Amino acid sequence: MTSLLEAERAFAAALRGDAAPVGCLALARLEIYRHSVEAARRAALAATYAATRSAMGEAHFERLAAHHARTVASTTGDLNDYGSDFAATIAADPLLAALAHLPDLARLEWAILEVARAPEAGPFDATALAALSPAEHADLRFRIAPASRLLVSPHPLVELYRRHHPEHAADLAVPAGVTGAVLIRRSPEGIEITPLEPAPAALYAAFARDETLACAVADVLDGHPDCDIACTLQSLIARGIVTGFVT
Amino acid sequence: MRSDCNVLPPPQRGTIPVRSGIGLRHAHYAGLLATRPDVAFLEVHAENHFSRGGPALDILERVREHYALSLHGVGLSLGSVDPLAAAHLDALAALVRRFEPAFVSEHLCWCSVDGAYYNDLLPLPYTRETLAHVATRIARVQDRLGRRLAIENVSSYVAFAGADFTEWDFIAELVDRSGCALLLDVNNVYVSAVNHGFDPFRYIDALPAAAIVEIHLAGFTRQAVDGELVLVDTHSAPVAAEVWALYDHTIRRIGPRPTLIEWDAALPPLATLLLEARRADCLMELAYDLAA
Repeated sequence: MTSLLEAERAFAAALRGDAAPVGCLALARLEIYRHSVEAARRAALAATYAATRSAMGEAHFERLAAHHARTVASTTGDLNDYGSDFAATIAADPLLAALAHLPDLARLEWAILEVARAPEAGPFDATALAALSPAEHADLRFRIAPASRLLVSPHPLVELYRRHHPEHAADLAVPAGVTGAVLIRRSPEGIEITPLEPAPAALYAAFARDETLACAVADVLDGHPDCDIACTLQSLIARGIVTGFVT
Repeated sequence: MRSDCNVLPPPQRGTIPVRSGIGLRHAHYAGLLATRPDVAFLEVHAENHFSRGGPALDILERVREHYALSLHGVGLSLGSVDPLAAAHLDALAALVRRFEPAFVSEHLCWCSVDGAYYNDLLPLPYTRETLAHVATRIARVQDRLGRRLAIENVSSYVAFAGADFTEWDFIAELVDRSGCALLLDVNNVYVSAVNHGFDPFRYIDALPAAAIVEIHLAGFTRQAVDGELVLVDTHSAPVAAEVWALYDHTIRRIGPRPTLIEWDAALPPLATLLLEARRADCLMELAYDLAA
């Protein structure tokens, strides 16, 4: 008898279609497992990417999901984690090259999934901030809400999402054709998807990169010299988008 | 024996009445909360609630007010030679601490090797090496969770040559070595018995009855593979007559146990699921009457 490790490696190779497993009986029945593994991955993709599926059409989605399931391994024991890189699979597909918005729509749906599963953040401690001297402000690193993500796209993502996932997005009040930065965040009412103006989006992105306040301000003013930083920061705090800071 | 669900007291944490339960599935959330049907417990797939916040935990909080829980893992990969996934175990431990389920269960299988996960319940070679390995892993999980883990037998379609044990002897040894409990899936016993040609009643009779804390029932489908019939554990159909008969034999032998109707694919209306659960209750009531 082979060792347990050898048996598992050989079985896995057979699942991938690389080789027949050593010491395993009834080889034809391995197809049941191979089908089950791929079907579970395809189902995970379908559950996450409903709007993307609608936007690209059933046939293309089934083709790409099957390709992704065969070629991209799962890396955890939780299938809810599977499919983070599906946008890359879409972007690499020559048949869908003309539908350039699809990878960003997929990124939006992955962001929605991440936001739905992220931890809660406590309320912003304004008293602690007020207790700091102005000299200490430059080195502060502000924390954004864990249950939030920012996407920047040249495509009207919110409108696309609303069109292709109407039961989930019917109440998203966004004018047609709005492009640029989109903020995805979780609130007590559910997942909110809203456009974010360029300057607050730049400040959010700088904080997401763990920049100090001084660096973040420099970055934002570089692209948006008229930005009122204090007002923008207060707005992000008031909306629960910036939730804390570390000194 | 059953009473109006609206007057039932809240379940005591950590206990399950010896009656039937159903799986908590997304499509039934609204119906469950609106009607609060009289089932003894809800079984929850642990991984579906590994979130650190948000709706997946909110729904558990809401159903936990009314129902006992059995927490059922599908991805810990107890049989893998890969190291136990610390993040996975941490997430499971956090759920256990927060929701205090009556049972925590996982499968006798493996699902990852060399860091690649297959997210399926893959069969193990029943050797002495595997027995020692799995017993050690169960002990580590039990230590981490601070409680007994129930191990579920899986359906299988292939077997490894050169095994040292039958599956039932392997499980009995595993209970003996690790002190784990058993989640006996009667459908899986029947499916594997047909696929491998053993006697399912012999399997049931060989298990340590006292270790069995929960039972699963589910539906299978039939496939032809190379001209022979293979049963596949799809959880997509009503419980088969042959499985009901094996279940009846089981509870007459070991006594009634909390029993779950598993139905995950081609999910029926909640009412259909509840009827299946009621059938399990009726068989348990008969078994009680016989024992009295």
